[in-house]
Amino acid sequence: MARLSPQVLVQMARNAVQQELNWKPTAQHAPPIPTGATADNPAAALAPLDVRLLQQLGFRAYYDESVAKSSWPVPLGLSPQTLSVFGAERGILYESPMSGDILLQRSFRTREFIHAGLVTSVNGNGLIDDRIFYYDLSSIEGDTDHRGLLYRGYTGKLRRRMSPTQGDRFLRWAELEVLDECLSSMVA
Amino acid sequence: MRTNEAFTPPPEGGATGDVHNAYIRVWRHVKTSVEIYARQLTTDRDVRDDLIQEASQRLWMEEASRCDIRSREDLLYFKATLTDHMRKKAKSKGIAMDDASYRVPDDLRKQLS
Repeated sequence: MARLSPQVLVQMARNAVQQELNWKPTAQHAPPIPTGATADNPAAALAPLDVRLLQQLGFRAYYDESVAKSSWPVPLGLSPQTLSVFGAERGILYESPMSGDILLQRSFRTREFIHAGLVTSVNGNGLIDDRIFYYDLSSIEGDTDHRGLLYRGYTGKLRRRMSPTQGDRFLRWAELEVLDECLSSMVA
Repeated sequence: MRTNEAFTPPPEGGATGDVHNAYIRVWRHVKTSVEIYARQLTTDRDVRDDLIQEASQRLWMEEASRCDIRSREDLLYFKATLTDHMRKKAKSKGIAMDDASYRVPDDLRKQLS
């Protein structure tokens, strides 16, 4: 068993967004099932657009051409809310972010996780009103716009503020172990 | 239920977006309710402006990008939260309020129920 380096994903995502995906409609480059993947379970195609982008980037970042397999360890077809359940069950849901984590933003009204993205860097932290602790992040996200609004349909780079005090969490998928036989040369 | 929301064109070039800009968009949707409630709370224009400012600050603190502006329920929930915050602030400032001012505005309550 081994672990993957999240920086492979971060670098690949940065390059992909910088060169071709920035402010393009997410649906155009994030298919329901990642390119090259196969899934027998129809639920694998049910991920919302923001998660579909992460699946596509993750699957391609750890894809090994020689065995036609990807080591991306996160199941396909999850929503931000089910990603949080998946992370909590495995003890990889954190309150503080690291580069490469999947950010999970919580709804103010429903208290459920409603949006997911990839943390590319953590730029700082602070307190608002001695009450709300926050992190300033750079991220790559799908199904948003340049204001970071929900369900807006575009892929882009964002500067975002996330607050564990308000329920936001970070899925440290890189702590999931993967089988050696699935690994390419991108192991941490 | 979904509200109408204009198409947002992506920025030109490879600009990095900033989520703080979500505040401006969401404030536009809640501003009228906040102003109406401030008028119900007090006739003093300075105090009213203070209360509106408190609501504005609260929206900024809560991170406006958590609000789905297509969702009527989300917008109503934000409006109710902001007006409730204004009521508490008014109370802490010792502003005399009539019975009606102690409640979430009637129109919001009807829509939420």
